[in-house]
Amino acid sequence: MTKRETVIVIPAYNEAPVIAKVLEDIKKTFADTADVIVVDDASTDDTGEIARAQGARVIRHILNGGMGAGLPTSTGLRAAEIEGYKYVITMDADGQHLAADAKSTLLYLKKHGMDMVIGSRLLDATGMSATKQLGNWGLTSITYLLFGVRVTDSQSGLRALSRRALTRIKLRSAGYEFCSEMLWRAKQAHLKIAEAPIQAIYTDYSRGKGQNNWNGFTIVRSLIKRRLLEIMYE
Amino acid sequence: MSKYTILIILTAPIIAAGLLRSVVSLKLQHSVPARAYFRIGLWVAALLVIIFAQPLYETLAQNGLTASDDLSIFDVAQIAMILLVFLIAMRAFNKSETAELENRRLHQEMSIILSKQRK
Repeated sequence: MTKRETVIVIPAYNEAPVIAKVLEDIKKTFADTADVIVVDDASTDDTGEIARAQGARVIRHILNGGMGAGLPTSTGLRAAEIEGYKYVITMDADGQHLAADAKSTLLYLKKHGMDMVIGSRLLDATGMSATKQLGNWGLTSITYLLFGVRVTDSQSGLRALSRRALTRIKLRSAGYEFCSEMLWRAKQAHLKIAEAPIQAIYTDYSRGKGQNNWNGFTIVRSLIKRRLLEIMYE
Repeated sequence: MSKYTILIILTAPIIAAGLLRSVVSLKLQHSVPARAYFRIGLWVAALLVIIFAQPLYETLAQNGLTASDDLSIFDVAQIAMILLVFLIAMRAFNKSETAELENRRLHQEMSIILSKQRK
């Protein structure tokens, strides 16, 4: 297989019912212009086998991280760094993101010479429930207060990154707080961050798989702890 | 020997160690300069508070801002121990997190290598 300059990293855990559809959408939209890495976080179903059958490269974790998409995303980014990809897109495996949005986010990154472009679901929040909007707004505000990064959707899993961002962002979190931490590390590395509007597709499946709103409190606690502790040590 | 001198003797080595560690991490570029300067500032502030504990306490007492007696030997020892425990806890957390991070990276690297072999 010839290696392309772009890779799409998809963290996945027990996504067998939808992963094939997500990969088909990517194949249709990107044709042969991007490789796909599915990081299977030790699923107990056929996620990995289905993804492999769809032509994706599958990295299977030996153990399940048990803390959401943070660890598998980080593994995917590391693999992309090792393989020398120029651009990386991260997107969710539950069908919440459209491949067309992933492509437009990447194009925005290339066109404007950015290091990281976040696909923001809140620039046009159509389809997102009021509770989810409120939760996202709260976490985004806390991200701003703690790290000084001003965005509209700090928790979006759809992001495009340049090679510069890929090599400079070193995440310490493996839990749900990794989205905010990634923004913080990008700011520390003086990377150029922007946002592009995307659509969020909420199905019964993605609602069931998505983060529980109560996770917001865990994220806030982890972020505050990290922010305070990193003042004191390297 | 005055109680305040004992306070300085007990805490100065801890503060000196923390200060030295912050300066070394700055010089070796082990931490972001802003964070290192912030930590140095905290340690210097702690040192100043300890050094000027007597005039500080007396000023507060004169202005009726304290309703307590002078520091007892127990208070002095307690302050020193709190500082020491805080330092030990920070170091322990730092070490455990570094170990966890290394463990996680090892897991990631192994998963990547194994997936390559499976291709």
